[in-house]
Amino acid sequence: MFLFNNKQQFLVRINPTNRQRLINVLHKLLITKTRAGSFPASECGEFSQLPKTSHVKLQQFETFVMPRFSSQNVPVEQNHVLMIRMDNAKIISHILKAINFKENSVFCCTKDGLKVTVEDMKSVQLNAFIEPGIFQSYVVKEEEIKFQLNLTVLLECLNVFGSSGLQSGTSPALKLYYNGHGTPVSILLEESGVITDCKIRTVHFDPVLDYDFGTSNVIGRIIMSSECLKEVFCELDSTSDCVQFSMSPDSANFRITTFGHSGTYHVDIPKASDVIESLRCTSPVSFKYKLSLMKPSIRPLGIAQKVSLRIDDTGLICFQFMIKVEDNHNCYIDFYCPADVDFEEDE
Amino acid sequence: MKFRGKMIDPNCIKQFIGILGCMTKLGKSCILRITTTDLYFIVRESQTISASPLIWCALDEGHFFSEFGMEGLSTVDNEIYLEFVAENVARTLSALKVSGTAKSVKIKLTKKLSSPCLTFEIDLPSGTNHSRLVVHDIPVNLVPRRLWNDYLEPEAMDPDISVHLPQLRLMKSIVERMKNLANMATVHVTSEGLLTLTVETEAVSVTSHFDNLHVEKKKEEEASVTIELKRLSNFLGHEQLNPQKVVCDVLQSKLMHLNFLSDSYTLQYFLPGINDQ
Repeated sequence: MFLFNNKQQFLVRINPTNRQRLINVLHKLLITKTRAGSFPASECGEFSQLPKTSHVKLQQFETFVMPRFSSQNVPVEQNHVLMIRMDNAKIISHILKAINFKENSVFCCTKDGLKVTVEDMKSVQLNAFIEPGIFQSYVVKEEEIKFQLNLTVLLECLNVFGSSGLQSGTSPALKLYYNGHGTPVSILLEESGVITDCKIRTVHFDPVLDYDFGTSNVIGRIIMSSECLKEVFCELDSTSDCVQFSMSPDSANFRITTFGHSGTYHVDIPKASDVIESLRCTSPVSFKYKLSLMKPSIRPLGIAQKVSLRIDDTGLICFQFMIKVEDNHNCYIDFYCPADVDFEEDE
Repeated sequence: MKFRGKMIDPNCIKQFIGILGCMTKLGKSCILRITTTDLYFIVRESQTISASPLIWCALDEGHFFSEFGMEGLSTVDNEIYLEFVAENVARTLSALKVSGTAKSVKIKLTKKLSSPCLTFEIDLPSGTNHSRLVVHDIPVNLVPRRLWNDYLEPEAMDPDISVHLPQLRLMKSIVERMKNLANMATVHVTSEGLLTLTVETEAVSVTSHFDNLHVEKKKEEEASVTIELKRLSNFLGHEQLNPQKVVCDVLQSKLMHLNFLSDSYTLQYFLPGINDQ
């Protein structure tokens, strides 16, 4: 409802439902702004005459505020730097739910699509890529638009009409737009004639890690069915601190090992088996990873059709999950986790 | 004092369980008022001074009971007021639900276990010819005559605007989500039949718009009230009661009053407004 720009001016878009609230907020705002000295006193004088009763006519208020402060701003609708429209909001919430292991998320929109990043402790990172083809309309007016917001809140908003699975239940239409740095992300959802609009505040943008995963450094790569890997992951010995992935050009197996209280477990998946589509390995690979850090990969694994696993020479592991969302569209989720150095030194 | 009633119609039993279930979920202790024509369930807010009830539910005895008999406190005050712990009834209900449809349910006021009891005698069908009879004795307190006035029927209110609520299922899922975001929401209705539900937190503001609602009554152009989402969601959870319509009355800043209307019963729910200023 309020849009501030850095010149302490604001545009008020009047929503009749919140008129009383709006007036109250305006009053409070006036007081704080005046105290902070950032608000020209001459303008305050007029503001303080705002009617305090709830019976103020909407028109009164509109004429009072609009001409003075909105003149420098073009209408809000034309300010969008990002506009996304899709007929089924379930698709995007399905993908985003899989990466929601932390609240904060960074959105990065370019003409190639939407990338949403969630990371923890500057080490584990989940990235969701959504290609523009999934949206009915995708307009990006700048080369790169980045903002950070609370993903949990966004998901609550997207699921406001209920959150049963991707196929079943409701499928609300979605329109999302963003007007640039410092403004909230607006979401409009429609379902059976009911409209819900949400304004999610964006927060100060923290840069995220950029894992440079060059293909030249990759020493091991597997493409396999996610079903099988999910089963293995779910049955890993939870008393173990770490999990080890090993493969070598000579060995016939891809080996996953845990070191728990009750012993060491190996899970061997033969190269020749049906679940492995391809396995390429240039030199022997064996790295350990903290089991707790691997946890966030389980959710995307659960919704993926296929997974590609790559390990580079420093031990950085990258899972890429392929998720089929519509007949001919795929989304991808990347998971990055560095190898655990402490365990390496123990040996 | 005497009271006995017997229900045999499966639909009535189902509806009765539904209503009783609603009471047990919404309040800790519940008052049952029995008159010669109607049965009332009353839940009052605990630990508040306000005398207004939270729930007021009236059931038509003729509709629910095939056999019915009662004898009140005296010929002048021919009514009975009982108080029971809702949780105890909830257990009886689970027994009723698990076993599917009961053939008949008898409710009696008895004196067992050295205190007055509300006895539920549930006749359940079984595979063989033998029938099973499940008896639940729920201890109750008789409310003395001098306290009856605490449970008077709420006065007919004069709402600023009164509208029919949209599909409860849809509204329920929205309220459920909003509940995850904030504790309170503002309900706003206009005389054009627009109802909006707004939550505002530091991170987000969400507004849902329901339009084209049937306006029953309008005194003002618009009215709004801030209410506790948990309570609203508790109440909307009872969509399975399948009322013919749900009327929502709003009294500016003071009250949201929801009224489930059906031929055989009315259920009123009072949601006091919260002053958020």
